[in-house]
Amino acid sequence: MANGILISPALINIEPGGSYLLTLQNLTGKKVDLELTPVLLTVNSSDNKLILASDATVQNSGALSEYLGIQTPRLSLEVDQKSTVTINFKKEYDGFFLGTAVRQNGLQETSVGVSGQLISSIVPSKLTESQITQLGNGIEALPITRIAGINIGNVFDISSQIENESDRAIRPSAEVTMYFGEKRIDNSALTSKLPSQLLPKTSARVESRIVDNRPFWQRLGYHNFQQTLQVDGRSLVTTQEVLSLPLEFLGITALLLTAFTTTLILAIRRFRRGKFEAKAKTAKIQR
Amino acid sequence: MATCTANVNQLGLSMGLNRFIGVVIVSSVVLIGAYAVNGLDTIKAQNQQLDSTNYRLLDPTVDSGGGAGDSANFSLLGSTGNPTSDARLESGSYAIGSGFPSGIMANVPLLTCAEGNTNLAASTCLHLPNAAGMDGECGTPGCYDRGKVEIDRQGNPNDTLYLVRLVNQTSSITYYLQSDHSVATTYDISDYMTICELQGRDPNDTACDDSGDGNWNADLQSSNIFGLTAATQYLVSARALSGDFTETQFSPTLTLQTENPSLIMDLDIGTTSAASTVGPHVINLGTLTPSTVITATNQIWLDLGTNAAGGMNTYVRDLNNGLLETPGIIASASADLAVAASGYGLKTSSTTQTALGPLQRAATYNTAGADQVGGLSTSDTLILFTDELSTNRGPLTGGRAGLQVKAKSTPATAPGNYSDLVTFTMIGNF
Repeated sequence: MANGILISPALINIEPGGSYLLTLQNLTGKKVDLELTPVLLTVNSSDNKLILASDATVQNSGALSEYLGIQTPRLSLEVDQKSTVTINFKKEYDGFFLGTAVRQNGLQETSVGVSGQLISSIVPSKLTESQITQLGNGIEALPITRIAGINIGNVFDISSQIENESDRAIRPSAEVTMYFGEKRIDNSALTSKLPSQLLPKTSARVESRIVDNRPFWQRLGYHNFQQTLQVDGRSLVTTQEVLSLPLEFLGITALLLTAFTTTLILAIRRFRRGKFEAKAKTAKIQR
Repeated sequence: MATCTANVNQLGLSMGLNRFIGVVIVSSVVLIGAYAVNGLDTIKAQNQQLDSTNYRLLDPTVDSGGGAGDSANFSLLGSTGNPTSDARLESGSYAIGSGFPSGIMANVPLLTCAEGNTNLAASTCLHLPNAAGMDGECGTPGCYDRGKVEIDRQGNPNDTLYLVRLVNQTSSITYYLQSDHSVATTYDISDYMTICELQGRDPNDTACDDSGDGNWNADLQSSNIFGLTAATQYLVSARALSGDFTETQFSPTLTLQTENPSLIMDLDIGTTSAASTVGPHVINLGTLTPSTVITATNQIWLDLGTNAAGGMNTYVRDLNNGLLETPGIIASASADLAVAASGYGLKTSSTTQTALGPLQRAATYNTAGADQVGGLSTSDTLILFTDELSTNRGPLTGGRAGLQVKAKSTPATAPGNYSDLVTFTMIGNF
């Protein structure tokens, strides 16, 4: 059950020169007075999440109004009242993101005044061709059963690394598809495990597993893992090959080898016995 | 069997009749044989029989036929002369299909639900993990970039494949659900999924009907369509495929509505969680007795909520780095006030939530000692958050946190009215 001041959208992907309507709704059960001010945001390196920039002298200053225009900087909302305010994203502030702080006022009284503010963030997301090249799409397919680096099983652990070195937020969707030659065997959808948005200079790692359930005689050869990353309508593809030699083949080979060796040994012994018997026969005749 | 008429040679009645009979018998045998082997060839066989040196068949009747044909990119299963292809058997809402090839087609599925922002009362989905509509999966006011669709198989077998279509009502662009559960404007055969693959659960499939099954996917049961646009209405439908040549038309549509990314916050000052106060909000510490830890009678109560899939962070900062009465200051720092000579800070006393989350306490203010506080500064410090690590959920409904304010002065602290302004900032991780 919602109880408070509701703002939406709390994050929007628009480009400089764009504008949007910020909706404010009073669900507190009492009348509220609100103040809206532009603020600067940055990405916190410790958790890769947006945080207010620490330069307090810049925050909430009149200077930010040339970057972010707020149509109605102060308003009062009655109980359950909803209102919209036009926010104009005039231009980017170099090295930072812009946002709108929606604050309930608190007075500095004789003791401790308390105030709260909600942030509606603006994060551009349209990628240029050069920014596309700043995205990383890495895959590592690790068979869980190996001998001398060769896969002998049918289970593969997939580690996928998506990196965003651009200065734009991206909304990634991705999947890993396992092929054997031209034949598509199975896939692992990664989209639900990825964050819905990767902020600039951040990355995400996803682990998944793919199993080849075909009979062993169909699994001899190269498994090809293709990871497709979809961003902003574009596809980035990376692949990795894994040589598979199913354990059953090793077993059959060992069996055949054993049978052959045994047969050879028996044949040699038979030959030698025959030679000895021939010699003995010859000796007997000569006597 | 084709019926035919023939112009009979007039050489002699008996001889001609015998020849006629012979010709008719031979032709009938040939026609029957051809029809039994290959429907399309039947037509060709009949065409080849239309002219001979002695007679010509006029106005032959082509009976129903059909068969399979292949090109580089398509396979066609054709049926001609079939009375069930009559246009009068369709209306705006219904189509009657009977006989071949209607008899081999899959059943047109129905949608049990297609939702983005429903609450418990409005939801028709059967397998949402939190059983509270999409608000229960995404937080109030609902999902902004994802949704859930469930399919009623209408008697189709378990291995039937389904393709989901979404039409953006704002842009009129048609999207198809992909095998990775994102949406795109094109599709191929790999984007057709079984109910288990689509929904993470299939009560009719013993390999996918309980949490111990390898194909069970709790994430997909929560939401199985990603990459949607915020504040947008989609018309959703699905069609079934149960082998070659069996694909149905799309089902009737349902409307899926997404919301905007949202944050909710409220402040109250009071002694209990039931407090509800009007701003401006003030905490009164009263008179500070030197060398004594003073805890404000009232607490700060924060109401927090969000539909951010990545959770939210709430930070705290103050105006003065302490309680200020110029030129004196009771500086704020993280300390145990029972031991420290003086100080001032906050202590998280309680956190609860109605659904999702949980609402978590940052270590700085989640102190062990009764008089241990986290310090305040003019820089934002994390105090409360939600995340999606392990089994945690980023969205939060009905979060409520209580914070104590504590201070301690020394005998040397100058008398005066000391004050500060504390600001809580909530940012979503969308």
